[in-house]
Amino acid sequence: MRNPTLTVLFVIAVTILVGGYLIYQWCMPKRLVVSTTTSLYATGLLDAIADGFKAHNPNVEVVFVAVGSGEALRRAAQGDADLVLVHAPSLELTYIQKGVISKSRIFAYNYFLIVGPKDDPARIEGLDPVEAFKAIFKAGEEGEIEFISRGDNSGTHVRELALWRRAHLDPKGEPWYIETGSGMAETLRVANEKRAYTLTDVGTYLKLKETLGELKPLVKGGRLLLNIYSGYLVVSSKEPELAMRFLEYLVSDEVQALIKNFGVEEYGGQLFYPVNSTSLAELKKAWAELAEV
Amino acid sequence: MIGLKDVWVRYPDGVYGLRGVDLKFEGGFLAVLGPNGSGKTTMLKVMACILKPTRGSVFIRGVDPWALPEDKLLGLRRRHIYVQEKPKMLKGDVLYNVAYPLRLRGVSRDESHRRALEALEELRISRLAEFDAKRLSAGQARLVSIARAIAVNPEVILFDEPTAYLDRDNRRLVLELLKRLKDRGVGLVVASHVGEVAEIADEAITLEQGKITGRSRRKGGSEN
Amino acid sequence: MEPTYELLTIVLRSVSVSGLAVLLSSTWSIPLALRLTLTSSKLGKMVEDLINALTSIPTVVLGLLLYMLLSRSGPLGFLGLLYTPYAIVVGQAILVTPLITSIALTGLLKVKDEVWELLISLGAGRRQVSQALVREGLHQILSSILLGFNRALGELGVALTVGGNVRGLTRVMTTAIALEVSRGEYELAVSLGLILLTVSLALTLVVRRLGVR
Repeated sequence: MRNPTLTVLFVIAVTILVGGYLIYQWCMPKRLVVSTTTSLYATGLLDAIADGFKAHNPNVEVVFVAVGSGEALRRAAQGDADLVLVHAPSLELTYIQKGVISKSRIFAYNYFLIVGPKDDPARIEGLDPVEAFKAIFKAGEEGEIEFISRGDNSGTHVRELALWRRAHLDPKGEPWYIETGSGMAETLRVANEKRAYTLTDVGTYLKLKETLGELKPLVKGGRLLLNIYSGYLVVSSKEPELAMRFLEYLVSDEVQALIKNFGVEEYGGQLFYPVNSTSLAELKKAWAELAEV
Repeated sequence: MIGLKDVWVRYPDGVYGLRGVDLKFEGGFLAVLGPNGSGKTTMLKVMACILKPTRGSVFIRGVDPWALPEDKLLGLRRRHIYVQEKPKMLKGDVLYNVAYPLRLRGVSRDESHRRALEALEELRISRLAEFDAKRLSAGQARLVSIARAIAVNPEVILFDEPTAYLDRDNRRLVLELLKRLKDRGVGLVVASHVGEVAEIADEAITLEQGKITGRSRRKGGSEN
Repeated sequence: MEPTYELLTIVLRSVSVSGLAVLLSSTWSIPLALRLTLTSSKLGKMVEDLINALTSIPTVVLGLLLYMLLSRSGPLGFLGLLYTPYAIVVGQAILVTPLITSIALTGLLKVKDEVWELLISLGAGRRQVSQALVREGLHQILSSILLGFNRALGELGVALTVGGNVRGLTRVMTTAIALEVSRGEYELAVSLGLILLTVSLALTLVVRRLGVR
């Protein structure tokens, strides 16, 4: 640092940085970091919920970090989130047992769909999901079809693997089994291009339906395709009270009404279903069952 | 004043610049003659203390400059100025370039500009003062580089081919300037591959392939 | 939030975050380049080789390393920098350090070849030589900083991993593009991409102009 101009520049830069950081810290006393699954975030639902929460708690900045369910939980374990919103019961159970997350709140649900080419060469339409996967495996082995997997440890991917396990099949490494390692929208596009089968959440599918001309929903409904979104408090959170407030807000009437109507106009179908006292018991049962597979 | 004792210079590419040169320069006007590539430039740089010999030693007033701490070496260097064969210019106008070595020596802005203009005047190029130094012709750059050297009033000036790129009038101008400098008592070491500087020098040496092959003195001297 | 307004804030955030990162990086990259220009030691050569090798460090790798550092359970977690623009600033500053240093070094070495002997023969001391090199090599230094800015603006890995792509806080052009693609909204992604490309191209042209002069 022999040059005085550079020294001055350095001092100025450090001052700006430290000053800016302090002002920033001072202006934002409360920060709530929510690590969340991509499928939930990408629809825009969470931003709408956060806006509502901010109206009640103006001094709080809600920060969403949208990643796959697996990564969301891992980041929570690292201590980098106050809340997690995820949809992978079996993974959730692991992290509950590790003591990373607690205070489960189921706040929304919808369904997974198995979509595939319109002419359905594996003839799965109307089948039970496990039977459908068996048929897909058989058709795949015969070289007639391909299956596209997310392959990214997301909630959807975790569910797909659970279904393969239920069918006592392991397609990993088969030439017809393609892992994209990317988000649902990209995976659906790949399936559309290749005229292949895939498992998708209903929200993303409805949103992109117009551009997915080669595909149609073939298997829907049933407990095994139930997609349950749960919120958890991260045990190591530094703002447990605030985080709890957000968690309770998720199951409040206000948010539940929002969830019920969200995207109906835009996509011509309900993206998410709200949770009421009758459906909650049923969902809890389904969750426990899904967590074990 | 400047002494070289068995000086060898070997460049990183393996080529020898000097191969065992002994020289004593006690002021006055020394012409260094010899064909291109004979080691003239290398010798001037060694004498200016900007090139460290690979072997042998240099003495400035009896002191080895390369054994000195950095600030003392700088002080020694500042009494001598080496004028490059192909003069380089710094960004800015001619006045900035000529005033620059004065500024390096801590002379105030106004004073350095005044002395720079004087030096330019001595070479009759004060009209170039505000020219962009990077756009000078080779001849103009030569004159500016000479002005830049005399502006600081050094004890010794080491000129590398000072008449190259010059037309006849300017060559005469430079030769006259060299005479004037000599009369003012400035030590001059002038490398040239043409003989005209030898005519006004007190002493001349001839270099060939990095060795001194001839010495002559004008007054009563003889070839050896 | 209105879409065009949001787009604008994303572009402005990108520019200021990457700008701050490059400014920060310059405060050590340029002195380092200058230092390496003036040294001829073996250590200097080794540092130079190391820097050249690091210019192509994958951004996701750096992003992951920084995430581990800045995570609440990591050694620098107490700073609370994760998921803030400052995390991106620091990350990008580190990312562009080898690039700025190596380009500035190449430029300064060229300048040194040109004027070093002149400076020494005119009687410049060590410090004066540095000052003169900076003055003579200003265009090269500016070029290196602009190219660093270009790289920071266009990188995704660091911004996504340590910034978290938080709406209104750490969402920059590249992370917004990645999100819009994952949402299936290619139109917005394409318009953001075009802005990014335009800025990049304009900067590259400026750098080329600087190089010619």
